[in-house]
Amino acid sequence: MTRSKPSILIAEDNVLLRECLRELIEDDLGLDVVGEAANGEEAIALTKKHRPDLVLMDLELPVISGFEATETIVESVPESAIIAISMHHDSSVQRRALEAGAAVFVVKDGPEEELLETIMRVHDEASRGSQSG
Amino acid sequence: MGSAEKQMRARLVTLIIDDDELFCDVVKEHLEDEGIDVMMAHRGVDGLKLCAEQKVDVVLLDENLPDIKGHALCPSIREANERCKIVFVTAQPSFNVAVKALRAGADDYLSKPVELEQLSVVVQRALRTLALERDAGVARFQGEQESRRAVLVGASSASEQQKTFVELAAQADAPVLITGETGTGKSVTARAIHYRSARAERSFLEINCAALPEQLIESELFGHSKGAFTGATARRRGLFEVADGGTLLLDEIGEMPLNLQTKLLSVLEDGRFRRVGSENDKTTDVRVIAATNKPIDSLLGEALRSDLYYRLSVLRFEVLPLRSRPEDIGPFCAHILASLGKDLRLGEGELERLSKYHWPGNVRELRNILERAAILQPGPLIYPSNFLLNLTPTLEKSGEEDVQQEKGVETLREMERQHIERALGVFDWNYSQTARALEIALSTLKRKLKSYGLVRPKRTARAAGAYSSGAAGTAGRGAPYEI
Repeated sequence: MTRSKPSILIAEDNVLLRECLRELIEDDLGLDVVGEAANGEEAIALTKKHRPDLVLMDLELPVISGFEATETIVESVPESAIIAISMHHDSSVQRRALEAGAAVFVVKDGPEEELLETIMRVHDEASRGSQSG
Repeated sequence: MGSAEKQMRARLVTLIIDDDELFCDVVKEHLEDEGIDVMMAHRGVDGLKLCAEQKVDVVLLDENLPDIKGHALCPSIREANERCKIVFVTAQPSFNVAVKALRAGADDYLSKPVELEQLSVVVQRALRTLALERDAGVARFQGEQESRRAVLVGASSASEQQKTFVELAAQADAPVLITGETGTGKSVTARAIHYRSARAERSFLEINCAALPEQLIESELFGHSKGAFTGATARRRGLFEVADGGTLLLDEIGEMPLNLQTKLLSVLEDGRFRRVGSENDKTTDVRVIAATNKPIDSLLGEALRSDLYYRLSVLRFEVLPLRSRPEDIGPFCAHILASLGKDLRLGEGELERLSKYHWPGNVRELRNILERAAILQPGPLIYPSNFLLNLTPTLEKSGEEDVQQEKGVETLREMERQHIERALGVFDWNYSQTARALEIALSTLKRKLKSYGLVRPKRTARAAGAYSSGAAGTAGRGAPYEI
């Protein structure tokens, strides 16, 4: 049985980080980056449109924050698992992200490998969840 | 655009620190076309000098400088000019390098070759952030002004006790219950606790539980999810979410519906709650201060759940009425008159006259008549007691009455007459409200008015307008009030 290529949306307001993330995810993981959002509003709209398996969500987004965007996506597109990313190490940021409905929280300045492993782990867990459900 | 705004825009400055002279020239020309002044430095040390000596809003910082790495220079630039925005520029972008630069203090990041359109977006974004920070600075200033209003005034032993309590309560983080008659300064006491506590940098929010319809209080406090009820067209955060990290004052706690008191108890226990219509728990870290103007005994077990009362009253304080601490009237007058921003002082004998008054509306009523005097009297000397005396037609006193008054003894009948007059003054001669406040029937009040020969004083149109709004402020529920 062939597995379809997992899809992911990148929500990050810093254009360079966004480009770096796309390159990293496409080249190292071979995932299908279905869209890039520069703010929370775009993240919500693009997630509703593409319904990706995963959303990589920066929490400090303009227009609508990553927290708010996460809450909206969890309600409206529950099949898209959200990986929250942030420069902040505070436990309160992590707590708020998870309360908003993110599957996991990753700090941006950790090793790239850690981010990549987390993306794949969340995807695997989400796939198992949908198959058993 | 106003000339001041033009001037502000003309003074926006970008500094390019890059050893690539061609790159510097191209960027300079492009940004100057957009109305931004540009300075250039080709070595890190020169750029740092400019940052320290000149006004710089945005720095475009190359990573590979001849004398230092850009990210290593970043902290020194921050030290020299903490408000400028730093944009890193590098020819070898990677996610980790980008993150490292941002972590070192850069606000944004660009990769070479730089597209001029993208450069404009980044520089404008940095300038916009600076403007937002200026706005935030204004908001912070306003917050400081707000904290200054949370001043405890008074010289009596009761005021000293209040100040001591506030200091102790500010150091603790437990719930607080403040009781006291209306207008005594419960809200100011709560603010004073907040602004002296470790939560002072976060929000202080206040809700009057009696001022909202029962069905709205829950949504106001805990928020609601979309579609939770008719009219809930969007998700909304409640006060417990907005005040996260700060303090929430629940005024007139006895008016909170009992089912919500259960929910409140749960938040106090473990900080967990749910938005109306949501199935997910949320957590918050809010210090709750509750207040009521009703005697606790009359609320307990009926309007106020006992378990909630015991949880709220870890720290409890009663703000005493003004009449029981007349020595505070002088300091309050000085404080209130100073806050009015005019050079006003009490006329001769005024303090003594004010000190003899009963003050059923407490400090709020005192502020009210001082503001009224400030509007209606020319100053600099004002006579606020005239507004009390205007409501009290002077009676011819018998020689015996004079003797009694000299000895400080008044007849019960005279005391009742004065008390009714003062109550009428507080409620702007509204008979129904006055009767309700005195807890007598309207017909009884009218009979007593006739018996004492009390009639509504005539007022000028100007005075009547000021008097009316002042009285409404005195009697109105949840009227704005600051000491």
